[in-house]
Amino acid sequence: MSSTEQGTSSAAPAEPTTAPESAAAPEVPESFYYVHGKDKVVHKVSAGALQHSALIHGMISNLGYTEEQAKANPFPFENIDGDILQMVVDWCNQHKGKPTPPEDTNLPKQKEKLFDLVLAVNYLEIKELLTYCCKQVAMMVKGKSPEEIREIWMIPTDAEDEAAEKEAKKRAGKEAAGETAAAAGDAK
Amino acid sequence: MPTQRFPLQRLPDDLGLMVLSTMEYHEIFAFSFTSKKSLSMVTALRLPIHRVKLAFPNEIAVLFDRAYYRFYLKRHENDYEIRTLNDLPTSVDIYFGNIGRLTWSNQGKTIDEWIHHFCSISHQENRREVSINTRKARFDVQSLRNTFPSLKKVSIHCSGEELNVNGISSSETVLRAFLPDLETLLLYGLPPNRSIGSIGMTNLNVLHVYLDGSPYNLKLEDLLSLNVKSFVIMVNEFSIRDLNRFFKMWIKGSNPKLEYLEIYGHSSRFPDWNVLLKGLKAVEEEEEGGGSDEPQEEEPKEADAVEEPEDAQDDEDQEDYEEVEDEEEEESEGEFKAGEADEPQVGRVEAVEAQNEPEGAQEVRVEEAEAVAEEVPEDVQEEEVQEGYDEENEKEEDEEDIEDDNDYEDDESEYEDEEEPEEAQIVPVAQVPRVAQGAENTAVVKTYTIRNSLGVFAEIETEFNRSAYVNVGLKFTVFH
Repeated sequence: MSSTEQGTSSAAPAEPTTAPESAAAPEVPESFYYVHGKDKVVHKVSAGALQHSALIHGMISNLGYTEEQAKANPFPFENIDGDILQMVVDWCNQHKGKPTPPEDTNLPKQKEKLFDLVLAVNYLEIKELLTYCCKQVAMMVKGKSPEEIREIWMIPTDAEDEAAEKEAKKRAGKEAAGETAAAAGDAK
Repeated sequence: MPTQRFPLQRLPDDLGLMVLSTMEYHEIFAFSFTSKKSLSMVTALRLPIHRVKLAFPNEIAVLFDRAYYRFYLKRHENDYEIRTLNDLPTSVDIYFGNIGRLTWSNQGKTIDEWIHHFCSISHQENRREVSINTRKARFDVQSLRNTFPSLKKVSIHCSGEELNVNGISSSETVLRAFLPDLETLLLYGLPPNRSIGSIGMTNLNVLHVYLDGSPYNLKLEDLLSLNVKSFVIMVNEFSIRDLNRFFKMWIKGSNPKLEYLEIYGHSSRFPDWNVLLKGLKAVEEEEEGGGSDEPQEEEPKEADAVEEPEDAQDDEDQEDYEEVEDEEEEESEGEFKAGEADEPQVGRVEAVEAQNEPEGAQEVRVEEAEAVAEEVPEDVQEEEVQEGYDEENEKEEDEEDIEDDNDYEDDESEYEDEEEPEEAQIVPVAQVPRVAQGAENTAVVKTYTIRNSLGVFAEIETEFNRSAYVNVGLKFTVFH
């Protein structure tokens, strides 16, 4: 694992964090960065763990933060719920410095949050976790009939799709008309 | 326990496809039936479907490279009574893998819609195939035609028991409906009153005909009528002599489209490849041993010597064949050879006469031939005796064939006058030693190269082996 981060980390983060401290090897100094989600709770993550996320890795490379700057400016992910971000951080810490096995048992088990997790992982570009999340989604319909799949994956029928499409068109038409009227009012 | 739910279609498209790509094929198929939008997602996946095959009327097979899914559309009544593709199946059984089996509802779709559904997943029109068993299915061809407006591949299992409609058989109806657009046609049996030539003269690329158990006799006219690129036929009655004539015609420029010809079948007798190669100026390629299960060294020496004209053994072998026939036959052979005197002799396979053989050597070979002849049933020997007389006439005519380069019609009419369908395919006892004594199931493969008047090369591969039957095979590959 590469270590391109600036300086070494020895101090605890300024704000309390729920993220577990990563167990860095004593002889190898490790950098830490800070991220927060929608709930503003800051998570301290080692640079090694963040290697999993192509997005954050790119940000670190491009911004060139020092230790102090990183502490003062946690990466904001306002579109990710705090608990989802926590799950992702946990997973990254557990898989720090090692490739993801084909059958990963450390994935968060809460199926109801799987949808948000998939979106968050996709946004953060964590390829291995995304692959495993997709497999989890696929496993929900293993051996099911079309009717069961329709129910589990909440797939609208063709009639519902058509109705939704009509509704969307109608709404788009109204919005366009409203904008035109507003523009005409402004012109007057 | 309540089932967990997941709004798949609210995911971005690429994520949805990623989820689908981790699923088994039958699960993807199931998903495709949930809505039109789902079907379009599955279509976007571009599944590596090798072929969608409809075994008319109610079995759809989806073939991947290493997987095979069979959808059997069931009905309450007799499945064979399905006449139209607008029928609704009662349920659908899916078979896959070794033991995989599922049952779905009909999804509110008719048979026709089921077929269309899989066709729309598979993209490529040329990967659709229909297999029809005319004995089992009673159907409306127009309904099939509407479902597959431009079908490229059809296999028809013709049956003598099929019902005629207005004097036209079901297989004939199917042929008329689809033959103009077809690229590949597989026939298991021939429709009544149809010859191979009449089918092969259409614009097919590939024609396979399997006539196992059928009395059909493949004729020269059938071969000359072929307009296909690839023709494979399994037939038990074919004349080696006709094939020789066909190759001569090919050398003169007939069948320019033909790229591959394969003829194989069972025979009660051994083929005489010398008759096949006579006058073709064929050059034998290096012997590779073919599919022999046993070392070639175990074969009698004569086996190797047959197609090596510069070797004295060649003469001997040929003589074995001819001595059992009529001595007059040898005279005609001598004339033939004299007529060909200006042709290059090295590496060329032709019937050679052993006029200069020492008498002692001839006697030994006669004894060998007689020893082998003892193994041949008496009826065969009788036919061979008769054959000897007929062969004389044949060979004389054959010489005329060679000299008469530009007039096929004469050649053909001459052939029609002949009455030697059996004799032309037979070689008497002399060919028996080619297979090692006791070497059952040993294949003898020989490869020769010929060239036509345009300079195009072709390879003729002959093969026969002796098991319960004599299995005879011939492959003709053109190198454009």
